[in-house]
Amino acid sequence: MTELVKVSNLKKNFGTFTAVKSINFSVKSGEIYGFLGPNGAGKTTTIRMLTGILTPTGGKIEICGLDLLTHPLEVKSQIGVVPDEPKLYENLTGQEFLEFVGSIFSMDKNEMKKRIEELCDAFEINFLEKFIGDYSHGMKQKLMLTSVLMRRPKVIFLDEATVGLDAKSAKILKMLLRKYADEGSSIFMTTHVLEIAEKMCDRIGIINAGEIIAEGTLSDLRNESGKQSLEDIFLQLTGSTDEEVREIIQNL
Amino acid sequence: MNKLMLLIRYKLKMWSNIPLRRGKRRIPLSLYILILSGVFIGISVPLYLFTLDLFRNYSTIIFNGISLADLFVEISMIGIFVLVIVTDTPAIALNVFMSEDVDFLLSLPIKQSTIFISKNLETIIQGGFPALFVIPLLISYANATMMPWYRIIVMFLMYIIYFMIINSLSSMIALGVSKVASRSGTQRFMVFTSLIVYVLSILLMSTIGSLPNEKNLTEAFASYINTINLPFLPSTWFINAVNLRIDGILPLIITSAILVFVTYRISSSGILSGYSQMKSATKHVKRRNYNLKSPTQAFISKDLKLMRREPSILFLLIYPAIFPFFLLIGGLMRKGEGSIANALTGGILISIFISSMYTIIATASLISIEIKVGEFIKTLPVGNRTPLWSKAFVITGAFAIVMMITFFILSAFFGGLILSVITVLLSIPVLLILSFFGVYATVKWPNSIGGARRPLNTTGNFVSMGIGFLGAMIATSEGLYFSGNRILFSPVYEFLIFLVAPIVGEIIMAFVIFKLLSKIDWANPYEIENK
Ligand SMILES: Nc1ncnc2c1ncn2[C@@H]1O[C@H](COP(=O)(O)OP(=O)(O)OP(=O)(O)O)[C@@H](O)[C@H]1O
Ligand SMILES: [Mg+2]
Repeated sequence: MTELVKVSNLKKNFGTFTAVKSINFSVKSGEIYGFLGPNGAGKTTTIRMLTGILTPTGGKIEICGLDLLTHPLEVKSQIGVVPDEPKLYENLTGQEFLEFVGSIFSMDKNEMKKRIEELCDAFEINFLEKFIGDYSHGMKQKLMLTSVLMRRPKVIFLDEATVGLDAKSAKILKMLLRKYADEGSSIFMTTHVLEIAEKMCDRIGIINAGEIIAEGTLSDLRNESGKQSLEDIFLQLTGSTDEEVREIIQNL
Repeated sequence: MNKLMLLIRYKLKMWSNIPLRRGKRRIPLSLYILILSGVFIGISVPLYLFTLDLFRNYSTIIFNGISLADLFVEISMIGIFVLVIVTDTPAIALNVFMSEDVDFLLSLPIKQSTIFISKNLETIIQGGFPALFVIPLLISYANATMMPWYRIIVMFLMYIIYFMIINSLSSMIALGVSKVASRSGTQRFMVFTSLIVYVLSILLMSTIGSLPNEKNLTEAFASYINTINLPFLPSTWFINAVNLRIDGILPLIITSAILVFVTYRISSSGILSGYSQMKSATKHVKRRNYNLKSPTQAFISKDLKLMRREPSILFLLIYPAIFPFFLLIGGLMRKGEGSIANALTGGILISIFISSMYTIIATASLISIEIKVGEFIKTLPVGNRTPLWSKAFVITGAFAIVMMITFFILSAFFGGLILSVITVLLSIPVLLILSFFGVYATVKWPNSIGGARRPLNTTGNFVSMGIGFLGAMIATSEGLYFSGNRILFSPVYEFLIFLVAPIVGEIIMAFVIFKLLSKIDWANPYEIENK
């Protein structure tokens, strides 16, 4: 299988603070990669570097075989990004926004129409004629998802994409991502919901304080740590144990 | 009261923290106040001196018991009324009734009236600045009419009461607006109300513009008194109150008290929470058609939509269309030899001048909208420059079209079509350059809390005023040269100073601005320090 995302020695400093310390990983075609870590660990920073929003301090990012730094436009036309906090044009309607995105990616009109209709049905989107400024968080999230999924990008980055979605939409999103992965896409997602990671992700990377401290399939991680649930593994790796958490609770 | 102070203190803290977040030193509040007072004094001293003479002359002209000076004060009061209503109402609607942190504050154990007052004060501090400029005017009025000290105190008390009337009115209008409209609806509603008020203030200005017309002064004066000195206007009460007349003091105090009371009551009884939520849309998913364009066209069409829907930009676009008419009204009033032709040239030049000044701010507004979604834009497969060119193109085009239409209307009445066309064409490159400077200014001096209405911080505003002035000089000099008005005696000097020098200046400016632009990451103003 081909590696659609390949990251080597990726690093990011904000002033004197190092948010991401020289990380390495790759995501293959057909794979869903789960990126876990405590708050402030560097997940969003990593995604922002992988999608061309932030310039890395050092390291190399290859997506679909192309270097992001030297071929930003070619890479960007192949990827889709769902950010943690969708910030969109408040004075455009949902439909105008989708038209804008479709035009930028030079989509075929009929195909786009068909896919949007499918996605609208799936996510129960019936507010495309309203202005985005009046959307709720979940509605913005759905619009953003539609604008990404309608393009069927080769690589999809999602930063806590299920936050704000209702149960049914979250379920549909999970199934759609699985389907796209099975059709050959690579999916890189961060989440705090360990259950999602457990059920969906083919491989999991755990980042803490800017360093990847464990990586592998769920069974790899289980074998390594000797624990069964991902929660216990996560707590152990990020430096706290079940007992410790219990003690904290007791002292509160 | 304690909580009110707490809210205000934290707001001030947030304001003074803004530079900190960008990695700069905190501007001490005292310095900020010092700068503002400097600006205030810089404007009010000349204003005082200018109006002092005016009031001295006018106070001797009396008709029907009202002096021209009184009338002038009245007109100013109407002006400030209109101005504060226009600037404050939308600000209050967005700041008080629709702001996100109100949602948070409402969840805290703070009385709604306290939240209302603190938010209202905040809006006044931000938007009520124009009301201060009446103060030097009033002082010079007091001085010219030799008012005793107790009347001066009464006058200022009355002014505060007068201001309370205005503020309560705009709060109520804002409240009404927030009930019927959604957030984005309000912004569009603002354009509509602003336009109406704008037309009203033009009418007012044109009446002021034709002030002392020596011949039939009394006649004109009488008609003014009839149009402006109406018994139900608060401005009339104000001037009567200043003259210690009971029919001024009483209505002013009573109206103010009632309005303030009602506003306060309404705000305290649960109305503050929640603007009308978006109604849930129909269950049925409509089949629709999508229009796709080329990427560049998509950007331009999107930017056009954003511009059309951003009231503050529309506002800037109105000015170059309106000012020429002021000059023409003046020219028509004077009825002198050639004064219309002069007024026409003047009108065209002033329109170009204003367009140049405002191009920077308008582009900055549009860019600040883009910066807000900068992360999204960066994930698109378009070059870094496409969004910039598209904006510069849209704004320059908009100003050029506004000028064109204005000049066409003007030349339909007064001739001079060719001159208009030439000057517009000449000013387009300057506007384009200025527009790119607007891009640079937004990144270099962003005002992170200003939104599209105030995209630049204080430094940014000053610098762009300077650059805008330079650009305006260049554009108007070229226009002046082609208007055939000769100022210097030697045609060679005329050619050098009014054509060659501006063109050279233009080229240098373009060069410098593009150089500056290439160094910045426009989509991420807060990243600069981190590099
Ligand atoms: N623009 C920035 N300037 C300075 N520091 C930053 C910036 N962006 C992120 N950081 C810092 O980098 C670190 C990693 O942040 P990041 O947003 O990547 O965390 P995260 O793993 O996504 O956390 P969460 O789970 O809460 O989303 C944090 O310490 C944060 O303060
Ligand atoms: Mg994050």
